Amino acid sequence: MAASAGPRALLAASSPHYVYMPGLPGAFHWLIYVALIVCLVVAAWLFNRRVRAAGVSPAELAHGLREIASKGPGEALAVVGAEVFGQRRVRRRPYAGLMHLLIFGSYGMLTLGTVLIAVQHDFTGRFFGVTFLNGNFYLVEKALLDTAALGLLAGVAMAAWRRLAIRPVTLGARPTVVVAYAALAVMAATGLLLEAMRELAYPVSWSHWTYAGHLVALAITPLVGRLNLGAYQATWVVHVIAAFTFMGGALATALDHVVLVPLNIALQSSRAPGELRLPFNLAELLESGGDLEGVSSGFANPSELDWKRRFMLASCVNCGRCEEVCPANAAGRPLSPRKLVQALKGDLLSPSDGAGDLFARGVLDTDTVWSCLSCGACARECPAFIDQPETIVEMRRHLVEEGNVDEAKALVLAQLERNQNPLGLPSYQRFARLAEAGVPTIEENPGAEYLYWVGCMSSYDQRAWGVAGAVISLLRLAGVDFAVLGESERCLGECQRKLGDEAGFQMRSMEIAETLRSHGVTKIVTHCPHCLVTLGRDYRSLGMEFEVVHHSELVQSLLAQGRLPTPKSWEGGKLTYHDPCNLGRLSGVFDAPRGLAASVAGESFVELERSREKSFCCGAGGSNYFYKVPAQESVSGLRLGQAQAAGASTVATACPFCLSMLEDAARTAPGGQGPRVADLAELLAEALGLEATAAP
Amino acid sequence: MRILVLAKHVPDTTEIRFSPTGELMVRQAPTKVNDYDRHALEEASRLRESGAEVVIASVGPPEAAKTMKEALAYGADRAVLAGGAWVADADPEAMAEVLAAIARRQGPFDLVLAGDVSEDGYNALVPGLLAAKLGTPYVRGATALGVGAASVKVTRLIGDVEEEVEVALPAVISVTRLLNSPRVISTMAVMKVPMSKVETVDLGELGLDPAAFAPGALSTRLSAVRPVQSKRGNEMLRGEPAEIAAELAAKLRGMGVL
Repeated sequence: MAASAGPRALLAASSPHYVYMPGLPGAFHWLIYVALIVCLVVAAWLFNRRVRAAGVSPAELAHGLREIASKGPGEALAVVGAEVFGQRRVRRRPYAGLMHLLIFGSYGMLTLGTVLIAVQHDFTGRFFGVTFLNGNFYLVEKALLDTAALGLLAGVAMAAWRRLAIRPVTLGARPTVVVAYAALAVMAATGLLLEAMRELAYPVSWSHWTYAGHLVALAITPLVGRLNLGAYQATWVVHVIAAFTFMGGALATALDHVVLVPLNIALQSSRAPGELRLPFNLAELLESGGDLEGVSSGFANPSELDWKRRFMLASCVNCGRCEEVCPANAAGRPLSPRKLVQALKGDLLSPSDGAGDLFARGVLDTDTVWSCLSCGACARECPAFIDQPETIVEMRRHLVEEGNVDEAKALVLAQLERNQNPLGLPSYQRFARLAEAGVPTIEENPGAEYLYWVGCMSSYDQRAWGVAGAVISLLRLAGVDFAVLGESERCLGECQRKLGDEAGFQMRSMEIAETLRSHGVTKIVTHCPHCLVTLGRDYRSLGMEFEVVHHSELVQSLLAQGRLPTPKSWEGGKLTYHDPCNLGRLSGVFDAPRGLAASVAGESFVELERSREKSFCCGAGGSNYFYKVPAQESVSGLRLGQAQAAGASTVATACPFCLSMLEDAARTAPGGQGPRVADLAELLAEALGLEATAAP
Repeated sequence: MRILVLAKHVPDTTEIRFSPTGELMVRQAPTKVNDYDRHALEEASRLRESGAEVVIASVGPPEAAKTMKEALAYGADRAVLAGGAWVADADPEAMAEVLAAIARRQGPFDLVLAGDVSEDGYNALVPGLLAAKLGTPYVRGATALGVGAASVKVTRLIGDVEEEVEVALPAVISVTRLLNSPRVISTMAVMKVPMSKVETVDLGELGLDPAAFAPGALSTRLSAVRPVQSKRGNEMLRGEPAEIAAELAAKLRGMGVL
């Protein structure tokens, strides 16, 4: 390589410090800035084109971000930090997680390294004569950057292997993304090559710190005679072109998710799992006396969605994580959350021809939206923070408003109106059994500490009677001051809301809140997780505050306080616990039921593989208890099979719907009677030798 | 084409019960559109989509106005609700008289559709009486309708025989629940119906003499309602399947079933 002896000696003798672009004409330095500006302009243009295709204007996006900033960006920053920089959800898949970490982390470090050079050379050094890329900091930085270059190469290799060899069904090997990968690989490889060439041309005493470049230098030493300044400069030009090709062009490829996903995470960050946004507040709407014409709670076509939801759909990467965890999909129902979002996204970006709603145009089938169990597994898994269950409920609302639902669903809605329960049994029979057992109503025990919300299942379903009976016996034993609403209790409307009758749900919520307030109720205990999320979270979003606890939480605290004795022995074999979706994933109650299970069964407790946040649905969620959809297998059968595989002879649950579904599955389990299924309260009451109150 | 649909405000029968003292407790029961009438409303709404005008006629208490909104949500142009103190004691004859007055005032109509029976009275008389008063043919029990310009083809199911009747319009047809699947009416759909679409009229406005509708002037009156205890019971048989089967057979033979 053509280099004089002068600078060689000079560099070798000095202490470690950064040397700015040796051997390159000064004009190159300015060319980088020109290229950077061109590249940013191209990227901005591509970004604008990308979001506008989804019907979102950059102004709306900017407004949305300003809104987050003005409300206090702490939460959004924390979520974005954990999900983007911490790659929390992405890491759940080992291969893809490592690949993402290598590419994202390495690219980030290399970009930072380049920015530091620019800052030193063109800002602190130029204006203040201050340099910081010196000494030990510089050496460590160089070593880290070499590691990043290797990491990037490894990550790109993994990505290429995945797209070209593993080929998951959801990933296509589109040419654009291959160009992006190639640009990254060339950038990293030429970076190391440049280091090596520089080391040979301008040796420094600390070159072993850039260990990867040093190894390349050793490898290319035999070629030294054929290397010249031209080759060095050409390599540098290739390096810069690769870097800017990626930076400017990534948004034109499937890698656009590096911008869209963090933005969507920021926009969706403040939402609780499973929470449905209010399409309107009926109380306010009625109070304002406004015209109801044109008021709608759902959407007929994705183009009607507000910009945040359109942006959300557009940010789907098609990774398929939702599909993998979806219980409806596992049971062979006609639903894949991935395909659903992709279909809506596709229709949003290029609407298909034809008139009518998305069902009439064949974008989706109605059975698809009715297959959803609202279990929230998909949304919890989605690294892009897409809310599939909410989107599905919004399509159901449209179907209900159009009157386009079958008789089974229409019947549930009619029965809710007439009988105040989805089962269609007379409202006056709700309290009959408990009245006979002398359970006090709130009129008989005004000012009771807890209102016990019994719920429809335990008021009417013979099997679920036992759960209320066990809870009441435990509350009585512990001396808890409680009362029930009695005949004036009625369905809280969870199934009505999931079926899509939003206005009916809100109307109901106002009436029930009024009943509760008229009795001065503030603290409520319920054994039904559906009631728990509805009364605790959904009513709160409508401005009605009640303190609601699940029976597992109350009973567990009674055990901890010593107000309930701990059972002595357990003969039920291996006990496992099925996390009801509404209690676990959607309410975050995981430990209290486990504490209870451990009190009952001690060492005999075994966890299911899909437990806690990863729990699998029983098949009743999202109102599916009340109607049928085409399927190859039953969701409850699959879940029971998981419990059987764990060797459980007793399956505990904490939801009357899960109880009914799993017990039904156990009754019809292949190979005869499956494991026993019972509520945690029933198991505890039994272990304490208590008779269930008002047992049939 | 102009269509009149009869839609009745009725208490929900699943919520009606007898008090411990044997009184019929109707008042607290939720009310609704008579289920049979929903099928007539659905059919009329479908005909309206191809250009028919649909008017709903009803006899009921003031709170029936809310039920009329629900009936209108199926898709009808307006509703006429005849009310007054006399409604509480009205018999099918009186109802038909008032409905005929509405039909004449709002008419002429090409087709009158009604549910076969109402869930509260279960007389299945009003549509036939109305046809007599209007002097039109009456076909009851429609399971399918083919409405033409001058006539209507009515399919009826009688036992396991299906017959098809063609009648000239105007005509009164009462429909069964096999006719169609009424659409679900969402809460929002009902709320969106403006109250202005419900016209409330009294006997005077219909040109009828209130004296003829006084309790004493009516030909029938409901004199008593009594609960009837039906004997139902169950018995669980336990043991091995073969034993249970033998025991069950013996019991059924004992009852004379086998």
